[in-house]
Amino acid sequence: MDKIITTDKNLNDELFSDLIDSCKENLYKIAFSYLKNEQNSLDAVSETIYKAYKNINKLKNREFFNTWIIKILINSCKTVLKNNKVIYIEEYNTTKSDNLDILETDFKLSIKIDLYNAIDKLNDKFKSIIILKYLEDMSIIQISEVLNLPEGTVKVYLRRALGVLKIELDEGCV
Amino acid sequence: MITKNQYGFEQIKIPDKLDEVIKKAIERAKKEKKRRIIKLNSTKLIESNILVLK
Repeated sequence: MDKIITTDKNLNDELFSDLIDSCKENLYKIAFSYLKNEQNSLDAVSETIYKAYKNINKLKNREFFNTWIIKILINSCKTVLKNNKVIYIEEYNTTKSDNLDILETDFKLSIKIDLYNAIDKLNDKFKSIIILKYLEDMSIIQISEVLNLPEGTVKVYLRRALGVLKIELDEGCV
Repeated sequence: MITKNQYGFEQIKIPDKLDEVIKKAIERAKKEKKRRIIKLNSTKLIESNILVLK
């Protein structure tokens, strides 16, 4: 078994830094896909790394590091969303043109990216699955491990989420 | 982490301060860990002293 725990503390720290270096950009992208805000995304990544460092001894196998840290990240994103609930409700109450302005200025992304924008219409479960599937390119098995859901449930949620997205994208095209 | 970014996700810009945020988070965790160890050792020391006094 490829144990992450070693007796040398410095080696552990170095290993942890290397592992974080290899996945930091993807962690930020997942957080941003969820939160659509740079500061909140950085907060979520920071909290994730803090928790991961504190609990690294609980991880027995380095092979599962990515799955493990993404699981922590998703929970951190949900906490940030929960804490900022009022702010998001206010954002949703703005007019459609205001929303487009926010997307242009805050996210600096083209409004033509339909899938990226459409996932905001999904609920948390569907959003997690779509992000992990299409951003992280994870398999159904990996998604079920990250989200603690049976594989069958993941398949059903994925199909439903794609159904919702299809409707959103079709509406966007009209 | 090998990914095949697409569908617009690849255009999410990585902020310059990401590395700094990560560094600070690790430092914060290290400090917290150190503090926990000191607290644990102090508790053990106090407990052993109490036992000796008894």
